Amino acid sequence: MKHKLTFLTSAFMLSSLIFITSCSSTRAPKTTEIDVPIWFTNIPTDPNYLFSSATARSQDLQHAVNTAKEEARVGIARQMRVKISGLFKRFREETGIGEDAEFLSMETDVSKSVVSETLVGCKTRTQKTLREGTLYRIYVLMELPIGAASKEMLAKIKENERMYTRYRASQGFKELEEEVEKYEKIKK
Amino acid sequence: MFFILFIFSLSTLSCYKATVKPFSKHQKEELIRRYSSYPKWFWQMPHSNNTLFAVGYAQTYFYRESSIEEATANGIKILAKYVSVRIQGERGSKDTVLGPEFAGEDFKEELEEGVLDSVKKNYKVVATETVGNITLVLLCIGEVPALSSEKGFNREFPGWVSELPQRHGFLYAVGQSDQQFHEEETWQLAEYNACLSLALSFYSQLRSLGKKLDMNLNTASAVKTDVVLKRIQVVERWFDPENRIPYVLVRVPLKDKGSKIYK
Repeated sequence: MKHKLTFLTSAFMLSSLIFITSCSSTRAPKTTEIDVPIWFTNIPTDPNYLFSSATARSQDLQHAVNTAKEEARVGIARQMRVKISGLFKRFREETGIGEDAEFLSMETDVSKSVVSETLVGCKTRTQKTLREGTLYRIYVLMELPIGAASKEMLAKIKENERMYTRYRASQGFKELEEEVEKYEKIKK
Repeated sequence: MFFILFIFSLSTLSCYKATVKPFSKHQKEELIRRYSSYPKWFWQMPHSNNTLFAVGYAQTYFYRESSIEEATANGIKILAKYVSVRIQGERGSKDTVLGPEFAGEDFKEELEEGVLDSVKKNYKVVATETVGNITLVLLCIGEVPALSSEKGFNREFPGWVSELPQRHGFLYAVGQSDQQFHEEETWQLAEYNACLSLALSFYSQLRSLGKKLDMNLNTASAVKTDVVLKRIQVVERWFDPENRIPYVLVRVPLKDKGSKIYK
């Protein structure tokens, strides 16, 4: 009995020793190069498009793709918000409206609704799929024709008669209409 | 004795590291050989202005006729969807410590009334092929083209997988999927994802909420779509033997074909 107990104890200690030494590692982790596509860090520029890049990873390939595309769409929506703010600032300067509260509130409404609605023709320009162990890493570059966003903006401004009356004479508004006209011709 | 064996196996199993073994060269070549026996029309779909095509899938059963019947029924549903389908739904994602994460989605595909019946009356079977565990049936609505019985698989990486074609008057999208247990489900899922991608490219409503805490900006966003797409067409399929990912390229015509935002 005593021998048996000693034997079992030795076996247990030996196994524990094997377990501890096998699972430990004194080697420093390898540094690996990340294969990031050039277009991810150096986003292309084109006066007719808004671009946004994003990356995501997941064990499920399609989840990774969907998440990356959505991140990129959010990036495009943020750029549009900046463009819209700039456009309205220009309208105000040209028409001399200044800080008219009513117009400011209307502009905010238009800005919000345009950013939340206008993603017509927002598509993937380039995509890259990589494996990182058990995970998929997706890099994606999305694009949106500026004309599509401008068209939506124009429609929203025209819905508000007062805003349309004040802004339509401005140079900024004329340029907006030209952008839309150019986009419509490209679509045909 | 059993106790010793148990302790020993416990210690060795604890040291097993779960890693994804790279696909061996032999397995890759086997996969390429298998896909080389697929018909060319599966990889590069026939296309014409007046004809719509779709591939129906089924498992290969003991009786070949059963497989073809099931694949034909499947193909009719897919063809009806390609004639006209309303795709609506929403998908969300959120930021986490590890980066953006998929939060969920809910999409529905609805056929227009009468489309399925019309397709059932007018479809034609162009070709059938049984390859191992999968049976494929090519169906069409319109003129039946002359097809070659050539087989093969191009292992070269096609450009459209990374960069969408830019043909005037068409909107393109690519779908992919994880490997499912049944191969026919893998390809159907890739096609489904391609159609969703098409719908979201055509029209999407984006809502995003960003909250800043200290230097961290966290966002939760959702993208929604509700469109009717008409004359969807699968253009090409490809399989990446290295990463075991199927890709499907689809397109929809933009001019005068009736695809629209559902209101």
